[in-house]
Amino acid sequence: MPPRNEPWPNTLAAKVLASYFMMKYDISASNLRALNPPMGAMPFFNNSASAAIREAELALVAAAIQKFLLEVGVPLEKFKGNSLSKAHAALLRSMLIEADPSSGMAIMVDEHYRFMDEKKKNA
Amino acid sequence: MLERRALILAAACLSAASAFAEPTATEAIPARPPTAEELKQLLVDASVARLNRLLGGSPSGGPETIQLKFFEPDGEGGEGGWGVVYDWKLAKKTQRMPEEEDIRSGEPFGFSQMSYQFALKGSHAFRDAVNNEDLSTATLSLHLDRADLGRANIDEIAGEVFQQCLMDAGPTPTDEQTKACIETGAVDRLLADEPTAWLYNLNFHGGLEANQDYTNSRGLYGLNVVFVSEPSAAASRYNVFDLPFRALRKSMSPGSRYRASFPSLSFSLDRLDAKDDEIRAAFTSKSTFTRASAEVAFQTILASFDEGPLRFNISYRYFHEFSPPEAIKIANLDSFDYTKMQLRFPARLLPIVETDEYELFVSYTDGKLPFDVTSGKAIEVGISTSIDMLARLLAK
Repeated sequence: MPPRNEPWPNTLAAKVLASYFMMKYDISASNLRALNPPMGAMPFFNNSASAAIREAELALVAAAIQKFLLEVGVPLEKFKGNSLSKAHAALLRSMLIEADPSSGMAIMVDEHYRFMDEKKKNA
Repeated sequence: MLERRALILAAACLSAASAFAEPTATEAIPARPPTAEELKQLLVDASVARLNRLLGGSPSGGPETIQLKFFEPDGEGGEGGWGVVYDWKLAKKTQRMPEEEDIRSGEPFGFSQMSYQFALKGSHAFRDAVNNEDLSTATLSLHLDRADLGRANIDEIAGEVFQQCLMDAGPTPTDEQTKACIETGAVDRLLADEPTAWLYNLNFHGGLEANQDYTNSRGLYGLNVVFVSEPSAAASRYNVFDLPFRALRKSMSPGSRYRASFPSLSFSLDRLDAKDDEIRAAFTSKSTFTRASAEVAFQTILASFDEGPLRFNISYRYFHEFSPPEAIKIANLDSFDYTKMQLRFPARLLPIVETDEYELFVSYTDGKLPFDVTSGKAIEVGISTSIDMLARLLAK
């Protein structure tokens, strides 16, 4: 039985990110959100590589996520100091540690980007 | 008195754990008192969490500076046992990413970054356990990173349709609903059209590398280059490392659109000062030397199941000393190589194996790293994933 982690947050950001991983890595978006696997179980986490290579690979994955969000028209959240660079650094930090829950990525994306559910909530 | 304190602490941990042991939306947890093993694990987790809070986490890294790990030695002897793995960084970085207006007018999406970093990284096995982890290091470094992911293909209308569909699908959309939203918004073509993306990291560093307690250590300074890339659909056909796995994927998961990354590469050139290295000092008085090292790492998915992917990753590292003294050559201390590979799959694929972990793995390591004079082949059983039955069988 998989570990009893809290599921991914129930946000549009989480659904969009899980959909991205489904398209890119052929994994189940619903299982990803429900079971919240650790980062070490993500299909882009190279468990055998040295830390230097792994961090570079994860930095590229984080940038690719940001590129996808830009392409589907999700803007950055408007708070002081937020920028593509800040969002990238926060997203990468959430990915680096093998045992950290994958939901950390969904939380960072939601914090730094403004999705339609937030636009409608604040309208 | 000590036993009573331990019981009180255990009770406190139980109380804290109970506050979080709420049934989730996907699985109800039956109410029962914890077992002795669960209490022990709670105590260990609480102690590590407390220590990480006291340390304040890594200022520039993740929240956990220290993690517990079980070290399984190789088959030539030595004891297994518990230890800690630590990773602490303090860094200042400046990163430049293009503005959205520039990206819309055709500038490639990517970033340039420069950072200064002080890092402590390594592991320590307790008591007589043999530590077969990477070297422990304390380093100062300057990093230059550059990434290019090609032009962005912005389609806000498709994105709006996609997001609206996901919102309408309810709080927990099924995979079928998610796929329907992807098709409705036609956002999958954005990933199908992705150009080749790459990133390189150049770093200049100085510091110490050592065994776990720094009793054998050496100073070093040097240069390291890392290059990673993800191919476009057209370029992926040249990914020869993935050829056999691609064939397997096609047969086991016919509709798979997954593209494996090109192998990642790392090259280093270091000047080391080994005057505190007792092992080396036994063979030569020449304490400073130049060493080159290289690493090739690769990962891929072999097949995709409903429970998750069956994945494989591998890393090969080679270290070579230039112009070594004859005694070092004879002792085979002038070059080292080290291979580590893992086959990993979701635990749900093997329901007969009782485990709390998400993923199980079988890991194979061969060779040695500098400072590790015991070489050999080993099957590693990690703390977070294991197949106990297989480990016991192999141990016989």
